[in-house]
Amino acid sequence: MSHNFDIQSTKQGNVQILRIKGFLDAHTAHLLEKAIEDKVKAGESFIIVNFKDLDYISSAGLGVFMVFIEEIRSNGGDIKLVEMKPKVFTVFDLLGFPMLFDILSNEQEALSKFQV
Amino acid sequence: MDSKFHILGSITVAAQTQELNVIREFIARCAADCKFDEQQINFIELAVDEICANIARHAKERQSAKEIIVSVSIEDSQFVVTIEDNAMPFNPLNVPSPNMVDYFRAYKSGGLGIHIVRTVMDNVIYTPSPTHLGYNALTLRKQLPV
Repeated sequence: MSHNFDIQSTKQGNVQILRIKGFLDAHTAHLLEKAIEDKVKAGESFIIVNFKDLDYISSAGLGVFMVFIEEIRSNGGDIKLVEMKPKVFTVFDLLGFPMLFDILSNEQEALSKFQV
Repeated sequence: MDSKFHILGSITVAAQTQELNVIREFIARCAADCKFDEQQINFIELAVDEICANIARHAKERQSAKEIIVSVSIEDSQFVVTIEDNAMPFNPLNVPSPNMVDYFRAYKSGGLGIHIVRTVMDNVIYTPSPTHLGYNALTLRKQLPV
């Protein structure tokens, strides 16, 4: 079944980078949840999610980040979100998610923040 | 035809999350035809998606709704979306909107869909089915762009 959503995973040093593509909604959010869950279970705490090719997000997508942020931060890590299109950022901003999440311009900026 | 009311279209889909993209495409087309800007089209799409996602999720959990009917009309300079389902009556508007500062402080998850709908639309009304075999309706309104 086509999901209109795809995740590419790569690692740079001790940082996991997930590049997400397509539409993140109630039908596809479980795919991202599983991908992040697998990383967290493997002991990964430094995660960058790259939104460059993401065209749409609904509350189901926002919810995925809420599921993991507390545990990851309590492990000394973070989930940093980068390269959001204005259309996607607007949804994050609508509910005040920038209060809780570090939303940055690009992967390099996120990587350098992790290395501080 | 009454110039203050006309129907733009209607779509009937199975109450399943895999139909959400079909619903969004339909709504985006209707909103674009009414000259909403890109951000407002995204907001209307999002509001309808949130409602339909709730119906589909409950349909999966309780095997309640079988189908969702989304209709769009223009009424008195308003863009009106009516979302009908044949599940047991449930008023999602009874769920209070969260305080987002408390929400983030408690690291909560979920329960934001209706809050989004209230935030991006001008008006939302729930009408439960008059009979146990009928359809519940949620009506979302937004002022047309001038």
